[in-house]
Amino acid sequence: MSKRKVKDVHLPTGECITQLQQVLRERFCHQRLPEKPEGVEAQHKNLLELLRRTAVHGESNSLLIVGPRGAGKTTLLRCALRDLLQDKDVNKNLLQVHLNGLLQTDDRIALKEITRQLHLENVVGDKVFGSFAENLAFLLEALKKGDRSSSRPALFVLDEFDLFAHHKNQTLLYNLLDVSQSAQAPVAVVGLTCRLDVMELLEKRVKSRFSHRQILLLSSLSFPQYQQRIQAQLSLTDAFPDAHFAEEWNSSIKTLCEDKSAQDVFRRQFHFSTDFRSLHTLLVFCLSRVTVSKPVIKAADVLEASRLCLCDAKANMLHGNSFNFELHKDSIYWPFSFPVVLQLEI
Amino acid sequence: MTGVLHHPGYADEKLQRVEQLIPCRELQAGMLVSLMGQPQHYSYPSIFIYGHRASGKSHVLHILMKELELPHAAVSCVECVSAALLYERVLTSFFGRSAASFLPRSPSLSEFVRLYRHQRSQSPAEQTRYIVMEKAELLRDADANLLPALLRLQELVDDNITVILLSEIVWEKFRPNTGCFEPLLLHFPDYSKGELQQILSTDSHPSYSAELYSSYINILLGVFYSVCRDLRELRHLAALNFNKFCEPLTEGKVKETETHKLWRNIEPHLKKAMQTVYIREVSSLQWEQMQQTEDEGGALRGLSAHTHVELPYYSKFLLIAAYLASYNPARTDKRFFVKHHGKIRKTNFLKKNEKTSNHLLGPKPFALDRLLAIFYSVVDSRVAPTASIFSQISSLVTLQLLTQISHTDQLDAPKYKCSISLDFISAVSRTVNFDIVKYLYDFL
Ligand SMILES: Nc1ncnc2c1ncn2[C@@H]1O[C@H](COP(=O)(O)OP(=O)(O)OP(=O)(O)O)[C@@H](O)[C@H]1O
Ligand SMILES: [Mg+2]
Repeated sequence: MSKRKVKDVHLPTGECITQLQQVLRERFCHQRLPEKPEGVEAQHKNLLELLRRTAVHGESNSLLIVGPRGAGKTTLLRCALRDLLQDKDVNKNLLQVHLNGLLQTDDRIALKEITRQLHLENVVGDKVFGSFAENLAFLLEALKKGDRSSSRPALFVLDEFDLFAHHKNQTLLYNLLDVSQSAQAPVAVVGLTCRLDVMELLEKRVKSRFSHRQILLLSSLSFPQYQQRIQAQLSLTDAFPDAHFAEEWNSSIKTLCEDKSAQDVFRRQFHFSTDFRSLHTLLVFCLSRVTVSKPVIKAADVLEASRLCLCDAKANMLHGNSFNFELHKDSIYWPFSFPVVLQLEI
Repeated sequence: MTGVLHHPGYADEKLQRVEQLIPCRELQAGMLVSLMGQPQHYSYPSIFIYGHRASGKSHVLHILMKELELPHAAVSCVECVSAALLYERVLTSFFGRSAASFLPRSPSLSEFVRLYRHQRSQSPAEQTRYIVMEKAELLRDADANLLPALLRLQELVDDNITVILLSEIVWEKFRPNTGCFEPLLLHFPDYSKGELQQILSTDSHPSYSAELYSSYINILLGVFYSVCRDLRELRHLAALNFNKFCEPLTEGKVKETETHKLWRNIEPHLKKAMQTVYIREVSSLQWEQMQQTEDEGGALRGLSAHTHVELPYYSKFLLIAAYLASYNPARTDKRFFVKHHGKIRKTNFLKKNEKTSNHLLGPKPFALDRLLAIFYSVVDSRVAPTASIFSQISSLVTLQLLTQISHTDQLDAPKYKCSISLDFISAVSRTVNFDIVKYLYDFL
């Protein structure tokens, strides 16, 4: 239900806050895809081009997206996929298999999952295969049949790619990359990992079948850029139902970003890490303090949020106990404070 | 709006009821509610709550989930010995029994996620679903992938779901080598003395006034607060000693208002309780029995030699035997350990130079044979002299409870000395119901 935006819609503040919370929470908590992946336009274009070559021209390819945690690897890929699938033909034609190293912990499970995602359970049935390669070849062959003589392009996404390298003999990786290199069928293999040394994990025979194409997501932001990012992350778009509220909110965010003490906090965060996720953590705490009676984020909120984010957990846990020692070290009871301390695992 | 808790997503009456049920944790609950946000909105994928034992983590979560009627799966990692049980719990709580029945035997995480996604596509979340994992520190021992996957379950199953982990250990101890999705961290501080007083005072005894109970708690905390802030423990101690506190009242000796007299009556008692019950030297049941027999048996034995070493059953007797061998003259063994020794009075074998106490002189060496002879007479069942008994002796040496005196190459007649104190051995013998004092020559 896309509401036509009318300039003079006025919602009660309560309703506005609810809407605001919804929009921003989707951004911070739910990895809602941005319109355009910010700061990685070049990589996005690259990736889109490469995927298109597989999906449209039937070229095979392999690629790794490498970047630290929360840098936006998954987001980049999902954005590229979204843009790719806007093409109707591609949408109809492209097969996707999404695997995650956390879930498919060995190659047997992975193969089962591939079969399922390609909707080939019935085709495979009770067949017994001699080897993994045979099985995979059969799957790809099965895709070929049907109304078309040529194979449909398939995209394999391997999130937490490094975990697949720990599977026995790296069979899955070997076979997938082998297929992608030998052009049996148009296959694109995209791996996502946070390990910069991922190549060292690969066996020689696997490595030699990889295209060595990598997209690095290492941020080289300057602080002003980081500030802009914060502002952009907090701002409402034109799509917000109450334009007046959105305007006010955006200007309050602008004021916040210019505030001295808030800037100090952001600078500390900036030196700590510049990735999106740690920023989102901070902003979620800020957002949780926005209420109907206080429909803005103040510098004090940012300070409190950063206190919560960066607090020293061990000090927190020790606080109650150390206090014990100080007060009672000369009283006759003091040896008994040890059980209290032993509750901790430090 | 009178209370501290207020959130547009939840009815005020419900929040007020929550507030009444979680005294002294309003702040944390408020924080949590504001982080969780309105039910239909997304919440952060994972929240990690840490704090000491009995700082109200589970209680707050339980009350919030129950009173606000949120869809949730409460999972205790202690119960879920296998991941399969965890998956089953989650699926059952959100989608009903039938959903869980699709799980294969020993399901993999992959299968769980697939099944979840399948169910979710049929009944998508209208409100945030919560998985509350208690004793999350046990997840560190589970499959290495389980914790990172749970932390980003929202992304994996693509549902409005939040995983809340409750732990007594700080988050730094959980983080895997290659990092993972970082949860929001929330700390539950220990209760302060005033807060403990307030909470403990709520469970007053029906036949006594609330003020009396509250003043009792005050006394209790005065004694115990310095050593114990565990609410659960304190509550147990309060219940355990309340009858004793009320004794003068029931006997009609003292009126309720005479707090000072009541205090005088209970305080030494509580101190003893601290030295024995709290450090688990005696069980609560034993303590209660001791309380009953106290009047006949004279003064309470408040012994504070807490044995930090847990020994096997026979090792305890070996240690007792060693102690007896070290501190009793060998001549007296006959008097103590031979069943029909006739009448041998102490004076009969009292030598002139033995007026000083053996305990002042320190332990004397003894031979292995003597140790075993005493051991077989003190242990109440028949024990075969197996290798296990002998190896226990060497364990005692390793633990430095016994010292080997003779040369190690003297295999046929090793000699030992017992190197523990009387307090220690009394504590040990108490655990096996052996009255060691009766067998010590010094105390005849
Ligand atoms: N270019 C971007 N523009 C706007 N938001 C982004 C961008 N990149 C990432 N984000 C946001 O940052 C968050 C983390 O991104 P993402 O999940 O893609 O990281 P990741 O690299 O896959 O992390 P991990 O290694 O843990 O899987 C998401 O909420 C996402 O919406
Ligand atoms: Mg990712």
